[in-house]
Amino acid sequence: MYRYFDILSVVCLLFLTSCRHEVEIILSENTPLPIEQRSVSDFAEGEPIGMYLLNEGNMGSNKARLDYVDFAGAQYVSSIYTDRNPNVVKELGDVGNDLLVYGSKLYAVINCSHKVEVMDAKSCERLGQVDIPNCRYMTAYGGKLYVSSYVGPIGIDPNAQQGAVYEVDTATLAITARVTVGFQPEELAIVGENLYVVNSGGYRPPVYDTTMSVISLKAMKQTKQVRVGINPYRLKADKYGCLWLTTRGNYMNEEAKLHLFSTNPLQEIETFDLPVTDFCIKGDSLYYYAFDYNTNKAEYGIIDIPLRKQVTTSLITDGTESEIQVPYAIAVNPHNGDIYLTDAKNYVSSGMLHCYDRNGKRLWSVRAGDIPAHFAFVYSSFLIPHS
Amino acid sequence: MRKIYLLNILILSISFAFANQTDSIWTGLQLDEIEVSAARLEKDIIIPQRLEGKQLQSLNTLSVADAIRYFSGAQLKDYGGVAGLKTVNIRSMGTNHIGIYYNGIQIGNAQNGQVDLGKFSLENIEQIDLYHGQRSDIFQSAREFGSAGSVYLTSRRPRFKEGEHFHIKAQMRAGSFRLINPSVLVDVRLTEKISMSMNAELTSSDGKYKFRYKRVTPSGQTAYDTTAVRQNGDINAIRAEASLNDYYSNTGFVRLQLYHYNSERGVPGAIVNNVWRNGERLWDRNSFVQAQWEDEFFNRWNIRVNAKYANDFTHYINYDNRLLYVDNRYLQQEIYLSFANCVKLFRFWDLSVAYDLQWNRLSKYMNANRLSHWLSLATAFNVKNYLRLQASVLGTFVKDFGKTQNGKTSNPQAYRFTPAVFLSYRPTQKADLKFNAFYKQSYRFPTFNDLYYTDMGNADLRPELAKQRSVGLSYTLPFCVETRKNVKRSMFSIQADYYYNRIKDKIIAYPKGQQFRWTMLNLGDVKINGLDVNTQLVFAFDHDVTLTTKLQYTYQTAIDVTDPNDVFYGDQIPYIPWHSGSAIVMLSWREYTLNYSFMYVGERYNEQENSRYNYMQPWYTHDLSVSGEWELKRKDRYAEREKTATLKEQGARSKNRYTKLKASVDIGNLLGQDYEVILNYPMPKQNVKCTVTLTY
Repeated sequence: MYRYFDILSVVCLLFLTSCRHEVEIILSENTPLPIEQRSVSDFAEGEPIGMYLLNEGNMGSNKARLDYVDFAGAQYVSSIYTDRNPNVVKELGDVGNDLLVYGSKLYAVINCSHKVEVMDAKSCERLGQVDIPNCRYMTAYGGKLYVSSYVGPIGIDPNAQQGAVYEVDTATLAITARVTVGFQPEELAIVGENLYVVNSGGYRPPVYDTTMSVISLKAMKQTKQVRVGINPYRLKADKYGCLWLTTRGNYMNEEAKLHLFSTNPLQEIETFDLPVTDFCIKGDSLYYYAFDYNTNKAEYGIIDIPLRKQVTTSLITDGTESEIQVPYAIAVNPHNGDIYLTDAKNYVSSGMLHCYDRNGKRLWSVRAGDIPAHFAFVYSSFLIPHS
Repeated sequence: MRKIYLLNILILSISFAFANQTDSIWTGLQLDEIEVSAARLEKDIIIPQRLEGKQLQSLNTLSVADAIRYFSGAQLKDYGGVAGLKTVNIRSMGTNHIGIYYNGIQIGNAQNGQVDLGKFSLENIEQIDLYHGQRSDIFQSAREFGSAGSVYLTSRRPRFKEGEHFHIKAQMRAGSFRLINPSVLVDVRLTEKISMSMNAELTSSDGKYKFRYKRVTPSGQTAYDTTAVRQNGDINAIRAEASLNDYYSNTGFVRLQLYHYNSERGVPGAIVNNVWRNGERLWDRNSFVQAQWEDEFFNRWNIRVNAKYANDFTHYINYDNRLLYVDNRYLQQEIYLSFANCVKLFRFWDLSVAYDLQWNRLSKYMNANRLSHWLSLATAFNVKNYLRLQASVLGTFVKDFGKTQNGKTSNPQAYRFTPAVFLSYRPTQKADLKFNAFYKQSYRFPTFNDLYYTDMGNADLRPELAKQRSVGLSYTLPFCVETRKNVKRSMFSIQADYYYNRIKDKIIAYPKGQQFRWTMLNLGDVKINGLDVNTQLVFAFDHDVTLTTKLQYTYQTAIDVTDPNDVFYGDQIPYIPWHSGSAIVMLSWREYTLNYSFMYVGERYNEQENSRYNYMQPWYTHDLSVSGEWELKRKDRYAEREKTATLKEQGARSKNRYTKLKASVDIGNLLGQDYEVILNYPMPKQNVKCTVTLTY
């Protein structure tokens, strides 16, 4: 009998010491970075004072997380959104898919929360949200935000779920127009008076979409749909008014490629047999990485834009690229040419953010959130310099 | 009088002797039932955990899933509500390693290997047993040797007293979330030996329950506090069962069973920022027919033949026009045949051979066929009742036919041999103290989804291996308490096990890039150490008051040891708590019962990485139930005669039945804790159920 009550008391004690408490939200944690601390006033015009990093988080986990790299304070600030906006129910949301600083505002596409979250770029305080179903990527021009969405007209044939581009007024945050485009539109770019968006058809394998839609910004109408290659995904404009885009292929017999299109006239001028996964453009250089998901091998390189030639295939020069398991995003500091690369690891644990100098030597690394994926630079004047 | 008293003692001491062998709480068995269970149980050299009878009824549970939470070493994954998916994981080895047996025949799911226990109603279940390793009785079908852990569901068997020809039971249950759950049961005795049982049940609930998310800042201020109503968690389900039993001799019986289940439900989905309802719908139709024949020949050769045909249809729709439109139908068919033999070579040595054959087919959305064979050889020794030993080896042969989704022809075949050894040692016959140990290997073969699912499937997968080592002891102490009136018999028992499991080649989903592309890989290695403790106490008091308590506690570490370079190397695997336990206290007085149960699941993480972002708080619930049973006397002309009837006549009449009325009220999550078992799937707060049962 005594033994019985002994066990009982041990068990009771255990329960008492491991009781449930109120659930706390997770505020910022600051990690010092091995860079020089500087005053914001010391930053040159067009030199970013910081960089936001959006971690996607896994679908259904509600773990999208916004972090901030503070170049002035020389620290990495995790979970800054929750910290500045603790009263938002269920935090930032589910699957962060794109990030943009435009004017004085910071925009974050939260894909599975079906919204674009709008914040003050400097303080990260919430200003509002725009409800856009299954939104994917965004770009901005002339006081308007353009957001691609998998959801176009509703109630049509379920086997043909067309997507759309939404136009949002950045002052009022109201949706002002919606244009139906192709299937599952992804990245967008603006050249001149036209908005370009690539249609992946990602919901329809193995019959992927192959087109790019051209939308006249004035009329907010799709004027053209041109064939660019199977399953297009990334799309960026260079300073010469040309479009760089990737096609992912069908994962069977069609390989992933990088394409260059001129916009006037709209035609393909160069194809690179490079399975580019993601890229970014700084001046005349296109920084890319190509990751083969079957062999798990990555290549990091630079393409010279005017020459249309690969100038290097070893962006990282100190051998530390072997530490990157799954490269997932790339950005280049427009001022000093530092390269930022993220590693998504196995996608279900926290990733890494690595910084390399312009010569490809690693400067620092820091632990990020789950799937670190999207960057946005912040400037003291809040003006985006021309690239 | 004295004679009766002695007889009572005798009956009770016998029942103790056998109650010792089970983990059930002794509830005063009838002598004839003892004999039945005795013959069967003595073969289990390691005692299963068991819930049965009155205790099972008092647990405030609707489905088998809720009852299994009270077993040590078992973790239930529960997505919430009546309609939410509920699967069980034993000793951290993963759902796919667990065999669920319904009247001795496994319930399969070749498509994803998971059995939703929420679909199995407790209404017709008499007994639930949980075995770690395997059932330690060598007389079993070959396939039963293949599970790493087993749950046996035994449906009610019709029992008739002298002169009885039929029973009727009608029950109505209603409660929170607009739960309506009527059921009816009819038992008919066709001949002396043949009986039939029919049972039907309807379950309906709108699944709308309030849930609350409250978060605070580290300084203790409320960050947000919001309450919403769970949407799209409704269910409409019907279950109908019929069985024909022929206990044609003392040793042999034939049983034929039909089972049909049909449901439509909403899939409530994860609650995330800006999303408070989801639009998925699911239709399930599960039907099977199974037959069993068992007999003994020449007093030493036992034969059992099992046969089953199952036809399961699933229709899944995602109505949400914001997301990928999905409308998938799956049809699964299974044919199963088993032939088991056990021969008593000597009084101390048994030998068994069993062969099972199974054919699975998945059609409609995917096409796959599988033919599996199991061949088992087992032996059992009994050394003077001190040492008992069982050893078995199982050969499993699996061959797939057909084409994968992208048109590639594949026919992976695999065969594996797995050994198991079970030991039990009882140092003295004077005390009921036993030591036991087992070692077992088992494989989980890849499911159709693992192998062939669109893009994701990987036809090169190897089976996942689980190695189990376990040592334990059990001790039962019957004791007497002297009260003012007489001597009351009570009992205490304890069972403790330590185990070390290793999972190798764990099959996990691994990303293959963006665009919803994942693949299945044999990647993952897990080390599991655990301790299970079960205790129970039955205490009898004066005035027919009995107190029954049962405590269960599990401590386990389940460590990922796949790759030292992973950030989560050495971390506890997802959703495995270090501490978990439960307590049941049942107080009964004559036909009235008050039951309190407590469930505790400690802190755990919802991802591989044990970081604060993935941390989940402990949760615990208190459930309470009160029930009473009354005999409804007919107010007829016999009532007068009753008064003057002699004692003997009254005794004879008591055999004649009255209509019995039973009523109970159950309150779940009494303190209304807001908790989640699975991240972003909130569980219901307080909920009430009322049940009225009429039996004749």
